[in-house]
Amino acid sequence: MRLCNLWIIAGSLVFYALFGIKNVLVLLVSIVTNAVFINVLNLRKNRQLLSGAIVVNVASLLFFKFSGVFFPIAISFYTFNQIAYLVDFYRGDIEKFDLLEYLSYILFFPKLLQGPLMSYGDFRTQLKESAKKSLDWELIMRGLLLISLGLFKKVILADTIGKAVDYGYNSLATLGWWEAVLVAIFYSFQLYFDFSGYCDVASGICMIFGFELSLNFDSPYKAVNIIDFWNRWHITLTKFFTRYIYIPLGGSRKGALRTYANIMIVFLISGLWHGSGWTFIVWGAMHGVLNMITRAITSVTDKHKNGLSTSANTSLDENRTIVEKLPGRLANCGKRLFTFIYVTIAWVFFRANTISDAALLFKRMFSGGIRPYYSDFANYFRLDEIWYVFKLTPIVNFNFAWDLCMWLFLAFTIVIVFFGKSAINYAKECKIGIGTTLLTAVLLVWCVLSFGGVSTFLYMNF
Amino acid sequence: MNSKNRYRKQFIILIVLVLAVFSICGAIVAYVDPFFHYHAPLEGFPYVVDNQLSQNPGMAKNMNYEGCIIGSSMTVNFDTDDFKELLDVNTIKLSYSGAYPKDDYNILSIVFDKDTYARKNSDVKAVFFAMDIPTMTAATETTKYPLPEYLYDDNYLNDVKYLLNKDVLLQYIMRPMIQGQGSDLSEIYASWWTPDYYNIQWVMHNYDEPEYVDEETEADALLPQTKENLEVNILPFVENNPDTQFYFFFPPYSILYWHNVMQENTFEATFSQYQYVADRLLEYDNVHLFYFQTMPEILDLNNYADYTHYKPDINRFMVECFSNGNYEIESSDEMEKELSKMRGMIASFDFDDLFNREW
Repeated sequence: MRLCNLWIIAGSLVFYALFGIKNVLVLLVSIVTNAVFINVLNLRKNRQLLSGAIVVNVASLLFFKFSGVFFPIAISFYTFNQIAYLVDFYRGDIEKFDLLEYLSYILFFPKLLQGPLMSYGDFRTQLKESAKKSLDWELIMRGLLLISLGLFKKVILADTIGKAVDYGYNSLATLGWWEAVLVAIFYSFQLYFDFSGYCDVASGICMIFGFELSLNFDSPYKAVNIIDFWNRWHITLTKFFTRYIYIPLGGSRKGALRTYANIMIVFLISGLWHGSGWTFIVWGAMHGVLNMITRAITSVTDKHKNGLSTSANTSLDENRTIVEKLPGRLANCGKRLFTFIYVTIAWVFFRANTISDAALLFKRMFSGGIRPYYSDFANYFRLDEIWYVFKLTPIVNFNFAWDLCMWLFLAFTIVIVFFGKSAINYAKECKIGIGTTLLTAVLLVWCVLSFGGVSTFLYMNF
Repeated sequence: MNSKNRYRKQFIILIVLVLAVFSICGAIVAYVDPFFHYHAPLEGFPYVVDNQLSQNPGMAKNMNYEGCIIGSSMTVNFDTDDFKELLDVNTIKLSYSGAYPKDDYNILSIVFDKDTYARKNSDVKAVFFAMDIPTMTAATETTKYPLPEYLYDDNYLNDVKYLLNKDVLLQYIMRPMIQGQGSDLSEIYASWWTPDYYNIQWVMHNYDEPEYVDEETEADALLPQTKENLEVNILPFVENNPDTQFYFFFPPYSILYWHNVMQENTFEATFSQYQYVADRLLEYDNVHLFYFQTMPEILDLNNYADYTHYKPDINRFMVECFSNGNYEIESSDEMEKELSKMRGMIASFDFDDLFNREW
């Protein structure tokens, strides 16, 4: 176990050093500072001291986020992990401070850059279990499949969509109405494929070693309301905010008004964590407001009332016939659609540079007019490998062929997002055979060959 | 077969498949070598050459040539056949649009590298170098765009980015094979403006006048950086290769360029730069210096597609001048006279009339 920790620390530091020595220095200063705080807390369990330690962490995060000096990669994630450790240590959830285990918890390379945020307890349990396991070929194959699926989501889907979305946001004034609508929808997809693709790769790497990372995405656009959405989107961040902000603020224990106020506070903090500026505040406020409204009008079970990520009761009675189930299913479809549209509108503020840019995008949806074929926006979806196939068929002679790749992209991503199994569930449950091996090989080759123009992961800047 | 063996077998199949495909892709790229990174062009393959950053270093290393064209977009419309016809120099175009002096340095380092296939076949007889004064204030280590380093260094490990690259396979190997037609090397990198774009309406309609700067730049303020760029990025090649003839030329920007200089309030400083660079270059016997900015054509914006980019006919004219010595500067005094003539042309040009018309 000690050896395992040393390997993780050394490997992760080398990995992180690839992003520049300045980043490593900030990380080390942060770790040393927190280690000192923890040791002092060990001698004297003092609430003021804990508060001081948290303030120092938050202040350093705010300094690097807003001062413009430079932004150390992954600072948000390792700062949050350290705050979680401090609080858990203070509460007694962690029995004793072990430097090696602490360092491997903070530095563990698959989660260092973009999470998922894990509690120390979960991390330690997983590490112990994986250290005991011997080489498991099944886990290796499932891990590689998950890595290939994650890479496909990031390199082929998110990066292709990202270029089109960037074009859209840089050309707001000239977008046609359907282009404006698609820019908004595709950004929702881009963000999901980008971040969840990264998490799938990280989980796949861990799976090979028998380590299970915390689940971060669970088909979020299948959510039937906003509360359900936050139960499926960036799950570990939601848990972090619930455990370390919402509940300490009083959660839902101090009456309805305080509950709503606490929800708004958490979502506004979430907005500011994601970025500076009014656009992020609007994004956070939109989620907070709908969360409050949903909480007020949705009947939730008592059991689930105490968290931010409370699940709505969406189960259907399995004993009913298809005809009897139909109205419920249709209602669920409607709820999913509404939630997706609302979340997509909120993402517009998240992505736009200014509030007026966001407003302009909405305006173009109603006043943009119809664009002719040969849309520049659609151009970004014409991947060579697909377009060359078209060129061998008569399809290429039709006007609509120019935009066809985009519509195929849209249809494919809709199927994945709304009807597909999540990558991690597929990798865990599918039958490993020649079919999945071929799929893994094709996706790995395709993604590696496409690396040339790969952009950076979106969440690395948080 | 027990399940452990079954999964292990799948793993072996996966690794074999992936490695086989990577090997095939890498072998195809290395064999065709569309960026000329490893060897000279294959006989008969229709190479597409349209990527300055990726293909210039390979061309400089592995093609047969005795002369090269170096510089910014001011050089892209040269036809290398003109150099063969008028100067009898087999020339290759190694332009970088927007080139900073460091870009020129990078490519000249490869051109004069004695270990390359190109140098083993032929010495460099001539270098045709567009001297863009506005870029001489750039930092000496700055390139205009980030370079694909793996094509510029000697590290074979990072070549994986070239060998396993979808764009290289599809756009530079598969596409030309299907189309069956490669680039005409004498005209590569030519600008996209068709002849219709070279007219005053187009130029003025798209002209973006810089804001007027109140504070005038001191006459000698730009000289230290200009000197540094000359000494670090350009002159070492002139000094170390006395048998190579260097044709430096100041490109004939339009009269609007001088309006920009006046708006930016760097008029005297810019003239000082021109004189300084000329004086430094004229110290070398293997330098031929040309000042084209006093050509009467610069006053007629119908010869331009924007405030600096002239039409291809002017490129042809400059090659004729390299051949017959017209517009050549042979002394500091001559340069001073030409700059004085330039001042006269600027002073007598009716900018008010130009800007008061509807375009």
